[in-house]
Amino acid sequence: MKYDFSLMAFLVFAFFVGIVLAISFYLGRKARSASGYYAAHGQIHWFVNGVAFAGDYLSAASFLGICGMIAFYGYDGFLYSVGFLGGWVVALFVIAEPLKRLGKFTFADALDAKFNSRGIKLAAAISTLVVSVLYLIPQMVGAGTLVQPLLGLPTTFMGMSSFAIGVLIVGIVVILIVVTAGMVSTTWVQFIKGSLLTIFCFGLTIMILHRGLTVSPNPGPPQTLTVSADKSQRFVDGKPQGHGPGEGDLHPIGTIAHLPGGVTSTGPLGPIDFITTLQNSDVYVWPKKLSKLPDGSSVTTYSPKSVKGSDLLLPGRYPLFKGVRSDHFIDKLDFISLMLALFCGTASLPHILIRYYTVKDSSAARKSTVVGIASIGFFYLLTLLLGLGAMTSGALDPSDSNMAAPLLAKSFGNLPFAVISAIAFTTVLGTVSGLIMAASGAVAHDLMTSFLKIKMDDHQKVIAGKVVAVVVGIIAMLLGVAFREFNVAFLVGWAFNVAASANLPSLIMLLFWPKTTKAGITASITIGLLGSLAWLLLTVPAYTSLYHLDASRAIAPFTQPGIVTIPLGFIVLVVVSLMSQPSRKSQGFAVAAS
Amino acid sequence: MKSPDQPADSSPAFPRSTGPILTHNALFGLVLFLIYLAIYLGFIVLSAWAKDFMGRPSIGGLNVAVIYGLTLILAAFVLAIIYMTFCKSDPPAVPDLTEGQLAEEAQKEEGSA
Repeated sequence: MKYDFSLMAFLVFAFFVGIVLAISFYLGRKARSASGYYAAHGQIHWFVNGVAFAGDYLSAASFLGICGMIAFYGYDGFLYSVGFLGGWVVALFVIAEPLKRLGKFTFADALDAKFNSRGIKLAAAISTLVVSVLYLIPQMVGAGTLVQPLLGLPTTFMGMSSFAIGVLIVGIVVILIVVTAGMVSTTWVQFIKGSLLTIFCFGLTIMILHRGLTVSPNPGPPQTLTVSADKSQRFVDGKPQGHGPGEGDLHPIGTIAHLPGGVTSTGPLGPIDFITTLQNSDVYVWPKKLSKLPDGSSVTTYSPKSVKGSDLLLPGRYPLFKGVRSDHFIDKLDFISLMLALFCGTASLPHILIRYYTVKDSSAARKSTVVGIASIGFFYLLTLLLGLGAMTSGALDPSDSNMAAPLLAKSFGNLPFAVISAIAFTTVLGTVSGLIMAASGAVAHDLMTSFLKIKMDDHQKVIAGKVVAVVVGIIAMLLGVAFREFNVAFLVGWAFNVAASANLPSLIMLLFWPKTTKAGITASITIGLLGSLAWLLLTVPAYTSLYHLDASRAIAPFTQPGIVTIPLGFIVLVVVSLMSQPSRKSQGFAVAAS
Repeated sequence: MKSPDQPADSSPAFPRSTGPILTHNALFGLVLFLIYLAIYLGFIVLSAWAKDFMGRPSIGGLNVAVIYGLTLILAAFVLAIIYMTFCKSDPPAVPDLTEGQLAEEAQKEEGSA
């Protein structure tokens, strides 16, 4: 769909970004030392840090991706909510405390605390960098998606696509935030964003419940979207896409065909009644069919289909999870593997782990994790109602699942739309700042200072961190444009797979298995990282959406590598550690130290 | 090993950790983790192999899949509160010490073992 410019949306957006930048510049004067830049002096209050955890973690995937997936496919999006939160249990109960005790600025510090090995530093730094960049891609895609409707830009503007402009704006704002005050401003941006996101989504949920559910029996005719081979021209049902005379646009979708008891409108509903009513209704969904024309242009046809609500509230409608309903074990592996990766991934995400170094001690680390779990859990409870609300809002864009949440807000008026879009944008800012901080620490602290042993004074360390932040920001912008066709929650799932495969085996074994050696850790990170990355690059989605090749040529048997590569990381670590046991003298040292 | 010409802020050649690996808190966390893991695995198994059961109406008319998902979110919060309540207070906050103090501590540890 094409969106017209809304001055209000633009003003609210400019106001939010202005506030965020002002805070950054203000705090920037306070963070001059390396410990200030990388770890906010370790002086962040646990409550602020807890809400900042939520701001760090609730990325574009959680907000835009999950809402969109629930709105289009029902329960499957909620699987991400469950998995994303489950991972925090690992972070709190297993990783948080020892990590806080062992490290200083980065998670490589903690891994390496026992060994002082350059190999570990190199492997951990590269893994941090790769995971952070992978996680940055979906954030950039989310930003690019948001900006067009927010600013009402034409499809191309000054020679750039509106998508690329969105990516560019986020990139520049985030680089400014990170470069001014590092972890101090990042923390406060995340705190503001975490609070705003939770509060406004709660407000939106109340509006959904108050509106209740209404039948609109005629879903409208099927619609087709034709995109020319070079993507410069788009046609809807044969007319150029637009709102002028002679132009046409996709009409919004997301309606109820039939409510239980034959009523046409329910009036205000409680949260449980809302879900049970939907469970007993029939809802129109719009499955799409893609075909290619001889001239290279692609035609997508969206046709309405009435589906039982009870079916939408079970896993298995989203293409990735279709296998759950199959009778063959191998088909279920995508689902099982993703749930495993989400569970193991959170505690291995570098941008989350660095938050543990911004509080003063283990007790504060624990308390802030609990605050984080509370705010994140509350938000994920809301996602189910937000997604289902979007599904029945009559405002969805059939061609873009990532726009479901802002369009849901738009069905309540322009102000809610402006606020929710601006918050979604701030959401991207908060998470992207955290990711760029993690990457900046990995290169400037782990690689340059610890691995290459470049001698830098405190000030130079900060400068190095800032330069790296700019470079990583630019790389993220370029990749964001390349990956624009993916659903953001799906992309984040990949980052979780890689993080869990590369980092979790070493973190866990270092803490609980005294025979772990530095060779074991280095090998496990390397194999976990390369194995999961290689797998991802050989899957069907990579072939179709990234290389534009035929799906049948893809080599990987399923899209989520976690179930293979996480155990692989553990096995490699154990085998290599057993093969590289130190001499008796250093063993005695290890015992004394434990 | 540490040479005298290395700057003071380079990584120490001795462990930063001064406490035992499996402290009271770590063991307690591990137990809670295993409880949650069991609930989580139950969710995966039922979703993958018991679609009809997950579709049955249960508490308040909501189907089992929705109830189970909501339970997983609430359980994480409840277990987190339990963990925070019963954790023992901290060992000394090691990262706050300077590297010199750390070195002394490590030597003491070595001597006493």
